[in-house]
Amino acid sequence: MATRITYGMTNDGIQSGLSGNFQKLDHIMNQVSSQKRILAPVDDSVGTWESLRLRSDIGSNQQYQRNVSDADGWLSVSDSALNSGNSLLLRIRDLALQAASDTYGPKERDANLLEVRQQLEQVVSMANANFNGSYIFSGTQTQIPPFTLQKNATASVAMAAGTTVPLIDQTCQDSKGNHPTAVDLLPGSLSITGLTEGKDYDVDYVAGTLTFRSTPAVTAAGTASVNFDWVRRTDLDISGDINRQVQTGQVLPINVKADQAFGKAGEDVFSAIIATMQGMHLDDSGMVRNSVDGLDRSRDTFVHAQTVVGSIQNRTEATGDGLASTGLELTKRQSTVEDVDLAQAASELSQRQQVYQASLQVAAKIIQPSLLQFL
Amino acid sequence: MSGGLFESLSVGSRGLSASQTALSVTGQNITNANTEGYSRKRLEQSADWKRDGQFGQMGFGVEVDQISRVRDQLLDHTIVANQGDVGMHTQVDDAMGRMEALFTEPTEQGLGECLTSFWNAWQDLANHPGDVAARQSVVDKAQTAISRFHQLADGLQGLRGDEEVQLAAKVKDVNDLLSRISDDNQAVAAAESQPSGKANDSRDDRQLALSKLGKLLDIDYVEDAQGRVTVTSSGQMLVAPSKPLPLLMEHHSVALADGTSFTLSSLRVSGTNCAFVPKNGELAGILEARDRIIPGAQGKLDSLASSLVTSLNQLHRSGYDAQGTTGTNFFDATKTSAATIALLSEIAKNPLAVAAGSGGTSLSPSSPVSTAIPATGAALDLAQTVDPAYRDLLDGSVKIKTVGPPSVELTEGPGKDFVVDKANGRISFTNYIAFPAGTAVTVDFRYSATGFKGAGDGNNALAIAQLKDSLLANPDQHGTPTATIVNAYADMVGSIGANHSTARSKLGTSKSLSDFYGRQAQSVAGVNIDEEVTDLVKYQHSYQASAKYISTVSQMLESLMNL
Repeated sequence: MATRITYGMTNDGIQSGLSGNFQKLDHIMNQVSSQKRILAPVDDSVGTWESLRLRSDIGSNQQYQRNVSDADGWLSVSDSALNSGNSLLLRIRDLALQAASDTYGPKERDANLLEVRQQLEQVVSMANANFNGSYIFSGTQTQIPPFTLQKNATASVAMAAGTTVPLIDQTCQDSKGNHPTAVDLLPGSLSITGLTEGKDYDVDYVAGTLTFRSTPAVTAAGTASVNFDWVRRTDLDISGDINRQVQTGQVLPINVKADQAFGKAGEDVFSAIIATMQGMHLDDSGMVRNSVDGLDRSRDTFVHAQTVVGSIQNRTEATGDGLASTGLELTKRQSTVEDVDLAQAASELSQRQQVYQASLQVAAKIIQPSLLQFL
Repeated sequence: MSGGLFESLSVGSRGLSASQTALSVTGQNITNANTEGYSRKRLEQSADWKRDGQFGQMGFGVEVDQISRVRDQLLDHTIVANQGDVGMHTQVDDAMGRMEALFTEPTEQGLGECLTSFWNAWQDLANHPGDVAARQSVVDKAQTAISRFHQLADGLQGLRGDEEVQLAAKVKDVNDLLSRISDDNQAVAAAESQPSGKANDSRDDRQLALSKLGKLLDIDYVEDAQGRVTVTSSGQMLVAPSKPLPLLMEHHSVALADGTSFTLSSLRVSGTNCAFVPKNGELAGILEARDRIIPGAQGKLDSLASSLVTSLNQLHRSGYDAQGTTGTNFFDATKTSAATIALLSEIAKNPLAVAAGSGGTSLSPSSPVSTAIPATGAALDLAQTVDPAYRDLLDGSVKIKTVGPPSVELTEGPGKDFVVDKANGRISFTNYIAFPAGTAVTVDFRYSATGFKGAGDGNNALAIAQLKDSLLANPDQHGTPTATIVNAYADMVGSIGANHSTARSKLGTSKSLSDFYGRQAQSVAGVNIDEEVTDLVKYQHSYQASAKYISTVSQMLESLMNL
């Protein structure tokens, strides 16, 4: 310790002491006014590191919550679509059972046919259910409806008695620009000018083929102009997965594919309904009765798809709950790391203020006197 | 017999003159109490005497010996040596502080948040791949992150430029101090070549200059017999006994990643050819910041940018954009540093070019192929003769019909009309009796094609979004990445904070040491007004007493004259 003290020393001491105290006061005032404990990484480098990690985790957590709520919306729409499909099929089944009764006459069957056709149109629109502008049963082809009801399709068919010909829809083009082969024709909608069904020709509505009989009206080498309505399944691949990331490393496919919900092409719900309609149209109670099995199979498919949707919903719901509580934990941790403890800071602030005032008072007392005042 | 009265008069007059000299030394001390580098002076005086035969030694008044400078030279050395640490750590602390300010972490404005928003924009795109707004948002967030990268890169380069400017200013200070020390050397030698000459003020000035130089550089100094000091630093002589050897700056141009160039200077002592590298002091601190700390941060930032560009581009190239195009980059692959990172111009112009879809194998219907049944033994090779994509045909999807009328459908299967080699897209006809070679047929089928899977395919965006949690950055010695981008960035900012904290605590230590030595030196050499005022009174009294003595002797002389 120095033995001789000079005014210069006292002065330097007071200056560095005051400036040190004021710096600390300033730091804590900044902390209190910004509510932040870490004003720059130097204040707490480990805290800064953790804060940057937490901010990133919180960003992800919020995004995952957003993804989950989006997935929930998608799944609810899928569920309600499948649900309404199920009710529609039940109604069609009732109508089929009525029509299968031998006490039913052709008129009643025709009336049922009309109603089934209405129900079928409902099933098509349900199959084209849409969430936020995306067709939910189209796989990744979300801009393309999976099924279309083509009305007033036309086909030119060369008349040749005894041959079975497929109908090519001339009014419509597939994704390659070709005219598609029509299947799943709506019974009752097909007409050929000048010819009568059951007399001059027969139709397989499910397969979409026409067979001419040998009658005077069927002129060899003539061309028949065929008019019909049909249900067209898009020729694009609609089996793609729609995925949502709901957690780090956890990606859930949330879409039910058309094949899963409606059955594979050729044996899907529309073929089943059309088989029923064909029975009603041809006034064949046995055919209607046989078609009920197909309707039941389609309903089973719907129920199965609904189960799948339900199980995904359970997962997203559980994940969503987890995310919400993790989010809270993360935000709490971030606050602990980044935010100033106000009570502590306020008490420290008043303590620092007192220290600063005390040092000012002492300094004022020390620097005043010198021997000169007493001479 | 004592000396005569006239001799006594002379004793009194010597007393007067000694007191007067002492008073002016006190005055000098008082007026220089606040002068930097001033050390207090003391009048050294002794009793003069002569031999008296009768009573032994006889007083002959007071003798002024010299005006001496109160100073502890060992302490001076310690102070000069300690200044180097203060200077070095001041510069490093300053540079780290400015770097921290540049990164503005942890806040919402930092690069960390920009990157989080960027990854989230990819997630949103994965949720809504058909939505142009989601694509635009990915591009916008990327641009925000890019401009933040640019801002940081420019800021860091700017800091390096500042260090360079500061280096030039500090080198000028060093050279001024070197000349000042050399000038003081000559003054000290000249003054002290006189007998009993004391170059007090020149020495004070030289010591002050040495202490200032010590803050700029690591120096060592030795005084020779004539009182001149030689100053050396890192083994190089900077002040020779006869002249100063100033530092020279040599400029080199360094090319930067963005194509511009940057001037860096190295140091050399005039008269030598070797580079001069200071080991301590402000110059060393500036060079440390300019050549190690800032480039270190630049390197890490560049490596982050480069990891981001490379890994994201790789995934993006494998994806399909909204129009079904594949193989494009997202970032410009030629620009991989933080200063240059940029979007591919096509992406910036057209958000539809963002590859959200992962594509994949999907079944496509063929266009109906019109052909004729080939000769016996030859197969119809769809992949070779029609379209190379016609491979991997879907089982049971091949429909062959004769061009009618009547149009007859052929049956597939061994022993029937035709068999299909599905993998290679080849059809062999087996029933040449019913369908002879040359029969016109149309062939229709579905095949697996790799490609675009529709506007709703957000799987590539999802894969890119998951890069957030992939190890992409901080490659180890085998080049294997060891950290996610976020972690690498957090490490980088955290280590800036940790290094700054270390620099700050080192600065605190060296400052408090320097303050301690400074107080010690002040304690020895500083002026205390109270002491000086006491001295003032003391010498005033002795002056008055000497005057009284003279007047007494004078009265005695008068009495003698009146006898």
